[in-house]
Amino acid sequence: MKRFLFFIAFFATPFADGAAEADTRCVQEFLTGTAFNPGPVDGLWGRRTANALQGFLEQVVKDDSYSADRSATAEVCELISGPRRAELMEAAHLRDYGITLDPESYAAASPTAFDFSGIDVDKDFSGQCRFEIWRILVNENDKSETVAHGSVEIESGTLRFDEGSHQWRLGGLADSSYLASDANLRIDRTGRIVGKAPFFTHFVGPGETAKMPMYVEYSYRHEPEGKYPGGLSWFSSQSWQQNYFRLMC
Amino acid sequence: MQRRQFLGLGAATAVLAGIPIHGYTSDLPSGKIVLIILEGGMDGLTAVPPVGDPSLMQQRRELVASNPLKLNPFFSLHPKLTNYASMLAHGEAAIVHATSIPYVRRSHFEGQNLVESGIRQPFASKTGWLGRALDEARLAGRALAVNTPLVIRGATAYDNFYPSSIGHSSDPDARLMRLLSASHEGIATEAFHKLREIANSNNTGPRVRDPEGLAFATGRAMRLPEGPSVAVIRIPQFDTHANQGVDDGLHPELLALVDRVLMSLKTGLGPEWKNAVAITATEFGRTIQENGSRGTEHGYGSVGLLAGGLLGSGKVLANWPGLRKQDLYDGRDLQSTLDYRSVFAACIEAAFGLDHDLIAEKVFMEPNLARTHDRVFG
Repeated sequence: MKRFLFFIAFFATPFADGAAEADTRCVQEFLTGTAFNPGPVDGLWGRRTANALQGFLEQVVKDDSYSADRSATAEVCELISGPRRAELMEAAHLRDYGITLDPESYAAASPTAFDFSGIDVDKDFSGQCRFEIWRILVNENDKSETVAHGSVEIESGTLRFDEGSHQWRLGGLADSSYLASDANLRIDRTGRIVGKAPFFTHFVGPGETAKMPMYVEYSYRHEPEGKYPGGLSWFSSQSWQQNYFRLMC
Repeated sequence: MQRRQFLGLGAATAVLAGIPIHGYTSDLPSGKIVLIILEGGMDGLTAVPPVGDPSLMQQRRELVASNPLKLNPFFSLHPKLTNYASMLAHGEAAIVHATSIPYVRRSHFEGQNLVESGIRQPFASKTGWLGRALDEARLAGRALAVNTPLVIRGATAYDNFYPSSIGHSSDPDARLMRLLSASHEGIATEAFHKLREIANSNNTGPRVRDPEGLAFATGRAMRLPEGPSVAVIRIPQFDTHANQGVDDGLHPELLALVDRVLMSLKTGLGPEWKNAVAITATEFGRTIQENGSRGTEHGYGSVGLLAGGLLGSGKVLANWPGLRKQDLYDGRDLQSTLDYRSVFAACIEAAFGLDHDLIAEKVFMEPNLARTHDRVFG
């Protein structure tokens, strides 16, 4: 018996190494030609093979029972030699290099996203109101003209515009669907409108090229000039015009 | 927005298709696909430079922007693509690099035809891959433009309403249609009559001609419950043989335009952005080295930019071939290691819910086309 154990110990070590080498080679052969390059197919376990296998397991296999460890190559070899071989090979054709951009440094790309924290939204206020948006044309002796008007529903301080409830006087694409679907406006306890909403800056005549709306931010801090008093909000769109929004409830 | 208004929009450079038709359209939930064709051959190595590849600086130092946005240790993004960077950061964009349609002969005419037809042989198909996909998804309706782009031409009878052989006319010109209708009889006359009616009724309607406004209006049309499922936007002039520009200039400005188009599309789509994918396509990339006129020549591998809520997470996917001399195609171009039609197929699978094998066989006539859906949209 003792002699037998000695026999096992003597021959098993090189035999096990041989098996590990074969499994490493099996993994390397599979990964060669995929996007997870293991380096040369030599049966030697090295950093490149380990990295390639790790990437493959993380991105393609996505099963924690497999690991990119030298001692676990037999299981991996069994997996990639089994019935899923073709499917895994196909999926391993692309490697994901990932995105390390910090979302915090990139504003969410939504034109009407607005941070209402710190604003005292009048949540107790609900009702049907009328509104008017007009502009002062700075280059034309402060000529004043209404560009949109109609009704707006206020629900707990949030403005809801319905399609058909108001109209624009600017032609082109400007119709009631824009405020209805895209406006993100609320009313604060001082009666001002705060948030972001689409706004059309140009008059477009029949046959002229239409322009898409701007998404403007309604100012919270700006105090309206003396000659435009009352429950007004101001916003900025173009240098040649001043814009006001008046709510009448 | 009414159907007749789509025509006004389509008359510029966008075309919308796949408007649901009651009694024909399938019940499969339909996502939205916007194909943005970058005509002329976009320089993918400038848009998404592989700064982690040591050969990049040896091969084309003068063509790498000075302050690229770092996406990960290996890839960066041209600084003009800031909105796109935001989409990547927020998990709604994906980049596929070192890819191309299977075409290596460097002719714009052939390449652009293959980008739209989705097969291997130039000018061998009267239908386009998006049109065939719409057919398979039973989303007929077709393009509402006289000069139906090849890419959305399918095989259903509806196509007959939209004659596709008027050469390069992109305006539904009433006079032209009168001439055409005079040379046809029977049902074709009726079709032309309808087209003329549409064209006439829309003479005073709003038209958007700048690419961003067009993308915005396209998105607005697609967000409607009965809106189209597919749109095609063309951006020409990527053929930068001379004075290509690095930080500023022609190519950077074109990238900035692509960036604004994607953002306008997102704004226009609004809540439908989450069911949409926009994908760029170009006929080929550009040579790795600068030529004597500070431009680049026609190349092979390039990059594909995808954006939309369907993507699920931000990623840069590639089987990177390397940029050493021996890694290049023909010793001069970025190798393509992925048939870009696999990415088109993934978009069709994600948006229309069709089976990959069916898409491979019926849409791209390529039964062995690799399935990339789970990697691109996973």
